[in-house]
Amino acid sequence: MKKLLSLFAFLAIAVSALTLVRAEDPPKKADPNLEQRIADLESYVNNAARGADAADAKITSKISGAGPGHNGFQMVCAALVLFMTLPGLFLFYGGLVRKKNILSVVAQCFGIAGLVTILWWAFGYSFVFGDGSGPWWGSFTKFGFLNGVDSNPNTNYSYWVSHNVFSMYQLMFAIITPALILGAIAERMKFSAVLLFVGLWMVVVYFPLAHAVWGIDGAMNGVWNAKASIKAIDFAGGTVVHMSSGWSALILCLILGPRLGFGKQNMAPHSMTMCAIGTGMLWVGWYGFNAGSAVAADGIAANAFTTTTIAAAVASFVWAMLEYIIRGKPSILGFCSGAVAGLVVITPACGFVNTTGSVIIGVLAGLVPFLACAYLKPMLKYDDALDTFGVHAVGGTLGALLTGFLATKDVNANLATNLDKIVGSTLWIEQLKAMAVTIVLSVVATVVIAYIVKAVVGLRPTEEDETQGLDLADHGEEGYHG
Amino acid sequence: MTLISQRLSLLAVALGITFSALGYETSTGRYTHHEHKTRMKKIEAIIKPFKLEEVKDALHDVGAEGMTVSEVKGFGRQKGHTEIYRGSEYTVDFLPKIKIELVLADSKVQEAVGAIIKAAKTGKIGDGKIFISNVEEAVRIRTEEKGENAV
Repeated sequence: MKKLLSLFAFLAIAVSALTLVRAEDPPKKADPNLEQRIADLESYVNNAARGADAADAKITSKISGAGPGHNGFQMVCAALVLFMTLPGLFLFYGGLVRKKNILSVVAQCFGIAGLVTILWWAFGYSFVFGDGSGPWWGSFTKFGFLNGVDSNPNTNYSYWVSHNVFSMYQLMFAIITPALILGAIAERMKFSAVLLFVGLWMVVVYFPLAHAVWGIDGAMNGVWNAKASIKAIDFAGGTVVHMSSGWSALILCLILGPRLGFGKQNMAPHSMTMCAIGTGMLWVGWYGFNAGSAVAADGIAANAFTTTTIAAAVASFVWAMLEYIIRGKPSILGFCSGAVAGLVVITPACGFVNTTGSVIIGVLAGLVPFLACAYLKPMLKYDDALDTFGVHAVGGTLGALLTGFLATKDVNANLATNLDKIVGSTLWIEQLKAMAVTIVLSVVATVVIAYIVKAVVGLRPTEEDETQGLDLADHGEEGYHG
Repeated sequence: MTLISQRLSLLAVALGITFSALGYETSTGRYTHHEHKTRMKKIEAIIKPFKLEEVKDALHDVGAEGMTVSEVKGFGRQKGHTEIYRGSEYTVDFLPKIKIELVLADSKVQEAVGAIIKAAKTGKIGDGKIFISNVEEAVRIRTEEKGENAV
């Protein structure tokens, strides 16, 4: 643990040592006339640029800060995405573990929330969204310690949402992504190992990947970067969030090995009720995740909201009905898994597909991850404790590919800007390239990081601690008394 | 009866409890019949939980005035069941059952057993079992009544 803390301290000092360049005062500009002021208001309603936002603008704006509607929407969405992790994900995962490990899941989610926030503040946000350093990683220093990230919009990402709100919104994604990995390694990884792994994984996998896909000059940002080498699209994080965490989770759970007694002891969920409550919270929070990714309360957000609802509901129903047909009983875990799978698969597509597309996605999201969890996992015998791979990697991969086939300019005019020629034809090939990059980066980095962590603090608790349960061993508390 | 036992009996009488009535040879713990004939029996019935209300009513109708009920787990020929969570299957060996215990005068036992069978039977595997055993003595704590009067 000491090694871990000193490592983070070193990183913080290294970043702070780099000096920040202050912008010089801009030249004097004229006040806008009445017509220009009305045009600014129209821009606010239409989520477009003000006259003053142009690089060579000669006028100022009377509404130079954030727009209240878009900004309010974005703050609510940010809170909803945090709600997905705390408590949505820890209840969903927590209900699925045995009762001696419930608190370890809660602690790991809280631990990640704190750790990732500190990284994000120090250099993470800058690394992802600071432009000017190239297509694969952002500037380490441009927004280091969130310098210059204030309540005024950063027009690279939004004309009407405060820069600080945007950075907090994106922070919530950075928190939930590594937390998803916890599902595969539940009940058998030391708390210190989880923290060290996540700290390194964020720097090596998440930050570069998020920059490549969402950074304004990112290599795989097909929507906004005309010079992107891979013209892929990912509305809310199919590759960045679900594929990266899901594929890393598979590798990490293989390196860790199965839980003690896996396949011999009863490891049934200790509370399906808790799991179902968590699922409901995830679904609600996912509106912030998907609709909020429009970074404006506009028509694209409305479309994302609609497709998210349909895909989740259809997938939940399909998964449970498959169980009904095959096993004779639709299970609660089936409904819950289907809902989450539907939400995962629609994530990269939600702002790009229409309602018909979302129904197709819903049906496939109920079918393909179901087959992965019900047949692939028992066949290959890996211990992906709570099915992070089966739901998030398989679902995220499926979603990224389907987005390539189903995206349409009819619901999102931004697809006509840089992708006019490939949408509806060869976009899926670009998607395949982005998927390959994501899988290779996640798999290779996870192997390296896992063995580093193993060498530094060790991955697994002692057999005695694991048998006793991580709640007492790692946290000195019990989830339930008596 | 040995000397020690007699002395203990005297002591017990002084305390208001008759040891000899329990029929035990205190020195050896050996069971003897010579003082008391058993006139009561204990019925233990393991039944399906959803049949509890019907069994209770049926017993009430044949004059049973009390019973003790516990939630228990176990298995017989029905064995356990299988739970499936996504791809993982777990066998649950012990099924939840209800155990009813009651002590009755000999004369009422056959009727009570008949009532339990009638109320608890579904004809399917897992209906449960009834065990009947002799009871040496019963004491009502409040009044100190003994034997059949106490049950």
